[in-house]
Amino acid sequence: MLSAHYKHGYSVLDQYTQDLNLEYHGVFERPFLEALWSISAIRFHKHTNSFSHSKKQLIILVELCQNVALYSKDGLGILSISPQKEQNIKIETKNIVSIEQKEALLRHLTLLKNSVPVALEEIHKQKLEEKSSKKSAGIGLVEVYKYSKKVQFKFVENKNSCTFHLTVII
Amino acid sequence: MDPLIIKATEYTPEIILDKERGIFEFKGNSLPENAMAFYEPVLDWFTEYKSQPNTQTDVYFNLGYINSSSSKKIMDVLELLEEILESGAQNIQAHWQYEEDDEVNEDTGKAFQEITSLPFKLEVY
Repeated sequence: MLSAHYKHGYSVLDQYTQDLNLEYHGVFERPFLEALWSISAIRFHKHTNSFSHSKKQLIILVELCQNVALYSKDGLGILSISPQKEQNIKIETKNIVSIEQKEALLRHLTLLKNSVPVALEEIHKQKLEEKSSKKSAGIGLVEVYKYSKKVQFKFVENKNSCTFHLTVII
Repeated sequence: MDPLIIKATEYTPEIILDKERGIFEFKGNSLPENAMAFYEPVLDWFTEYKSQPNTQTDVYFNLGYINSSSSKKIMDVLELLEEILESGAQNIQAHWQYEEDDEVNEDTGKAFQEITSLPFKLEVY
């Protein structure tokens, strides 16, 4: 269970200031996310030397963490960040979702996975225009697909819920 | 009409909406924890402004990092501006400003430009 792995976020971030490897198991609470953002902004830019590239990496980090914070049970999840070749980074999140959330996510992700770049632009515009009571209506995942070099997802079912794994290389 | 002035933080933009001085500006990162709550006074302000807008309204968006929930709220702002434009002879211009190598904000600006019926300029600096 995710909750069994709870660690204090700030001790994890201490190590993260020294290198680009991070593994966090815990609550995606706002103070942790703000500290993560501040450190990542510096670390990603140093790693890529490209404003455009590091901006995409940061935006995706924000969206992935936001997904966990908003939609995971009790805001619990796992985040890992690691450097990759060619100034890329890998970001992985794991969190528990309900079966209903899984079905909706699976439909949305399958659509995005099968969409060429022009189609992703169209979906992005549709999502912006969509009247929805939801906070972001899936725009974040469209951005994940637009700007990532590789996206992989899987769902591992438990009794009444399942764990959503999302891995992105950018 | 009272101006609306929201000071910037690392995660939220400075917003100045001042009918008297003709200043309508959004500047900085837009990564609020709750975009609905953050943009609510902005939407309320434009809803009131809609009833008696200036003859010329230039709205400047010079945003850094924008999360997806903020994008939705910016779209709501643009829709309110569209309503003002459609209501009569008011002249409205949206200015979307971004850094030269900022592909993300260029894409976002282009998406807004294609969606909205407002005069919408993309301005690189």
